[in-house]
Amino acid sequence: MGERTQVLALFKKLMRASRSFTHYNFREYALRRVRLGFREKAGVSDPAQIAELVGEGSKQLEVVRKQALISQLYPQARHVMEGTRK
Amino acid sequence: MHGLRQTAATRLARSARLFSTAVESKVGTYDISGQALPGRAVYLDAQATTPLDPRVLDAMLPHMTGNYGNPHSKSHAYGWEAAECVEVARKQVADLIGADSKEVVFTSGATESNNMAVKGVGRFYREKKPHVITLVTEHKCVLDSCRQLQTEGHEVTYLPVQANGLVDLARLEAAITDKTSLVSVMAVNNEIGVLQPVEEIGRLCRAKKVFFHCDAAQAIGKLPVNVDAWNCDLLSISGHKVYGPKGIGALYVRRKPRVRLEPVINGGGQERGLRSGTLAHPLVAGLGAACAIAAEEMGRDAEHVGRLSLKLRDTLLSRIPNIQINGDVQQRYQGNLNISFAYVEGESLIMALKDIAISSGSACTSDSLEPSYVLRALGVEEDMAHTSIRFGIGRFTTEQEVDHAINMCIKHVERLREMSPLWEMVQDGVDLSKIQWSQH
Repeated sequence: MGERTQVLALFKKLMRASRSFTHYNFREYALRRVRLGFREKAGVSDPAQIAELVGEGSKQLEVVRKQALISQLYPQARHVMEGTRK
Repeated sequence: MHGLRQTAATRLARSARLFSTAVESKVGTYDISGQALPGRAVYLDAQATTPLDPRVLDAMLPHMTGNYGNPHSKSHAYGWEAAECVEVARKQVADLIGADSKEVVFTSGATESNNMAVKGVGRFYREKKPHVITLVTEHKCVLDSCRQLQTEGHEVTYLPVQANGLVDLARLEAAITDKTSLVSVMAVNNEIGVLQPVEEIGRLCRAKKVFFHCDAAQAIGKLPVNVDAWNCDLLSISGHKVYGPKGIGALYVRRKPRVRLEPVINGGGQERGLRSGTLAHPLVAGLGAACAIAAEEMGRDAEHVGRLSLKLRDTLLSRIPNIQINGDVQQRYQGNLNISFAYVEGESLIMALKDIAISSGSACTSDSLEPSYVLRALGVEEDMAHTSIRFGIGRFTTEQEVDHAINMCIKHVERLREMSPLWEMVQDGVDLSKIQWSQH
């Protein structure tokens, strides 16, 4: 049960960090990649392997957080596709 | 005087504002249904360059800030740190192409790698083997290096390609003589995306004891590349085509059997004397990270790019009549789709699709109105060559962007054709090829 909570928490954190990319394409990619990554490993049940994957994911979370911050420091004009959202 | 200057400034500000509103209203009135949207364009030019993957930037930043040492400094830790990151990157690049670290030489990009391979091998074996073979559809930097060798007295064979853009292996075999030192053929063509039969070419070259150089700038990280499976002796790599930084590339130079080449850049003897000059280790780290990520993401990228590319291709083919795909349909990298839209001027279409960043061919020649030499080499008729558009889909392209591109293409091709007298004549059943246009 503890593992499940841990994995879900990591997923939520990654999705949240990915959403904070200001650049449209990087944001969309990060969201797609996070979802895909978790889907690929959905069948893993070995606790040791889960722990390893969570460790890897946590490293990626740091990268996403740092890079999303950089994208906020150097924002760009809105992307064409963002205009159609509202 | 002061007042005057102020009025001038106010006037300038006002006119600037006027200008900007004029531009805006022009954008606004450009498309009555409001589909020409303001904002940064959809990027569909992945063959010209790719965005720097944020994960790559993350690997580069430590070396652009704290670790500023010269990787060739051997007397202190700053140098060692930088040297270590270079060697890690060398291993990452080598792993992606199935090579040994020692066989990877860092350069400033694929143009330099190609220059180094073609001129370097050509010049080293000048005495006994003054003959080089390449294809007419190669990148300009290979063709121009060959041209340079010709001025130095070499013989160069520029092999034509078939209508599908692929080399005729029998013609290649016939062109190889005992004076041939090098065959230079690219893997994936930058303009039309066709994948040359590299394995067969490599096997042929090995059998004939001729060196095989492959420009794999457009293939690296997108398709599995293995220098042993391809029997490659030299292979060019570019950083910015695999979501890495610009200004860095690499050349694979085989050690067994050993390929010898005359360096193009001489100096301090870095990179085993093949390419002197201090390595830009932040860029090297970026190329290494880009290669490692490409190896990890290749399957996912291929799935994504392939799906979007098929959607783009099939929808355009079914919705717009009189269009053709340039280059072989099967033997290609999916992310590059070169389409000719008959009776539409390519440049007009590019202008019309203003919120989509595309080009009619290679970026190097995108300021010229001449039709592409690659398409002409395929035997594409002049009028069709003038109407070509290259769509480049990559890791960061979204489905939403492709849908937008599809809609815009359909709409503007229809609109431009409605304005075209040629299209009208075709609709009336006139055979354009039979018309005798008067000469002015």
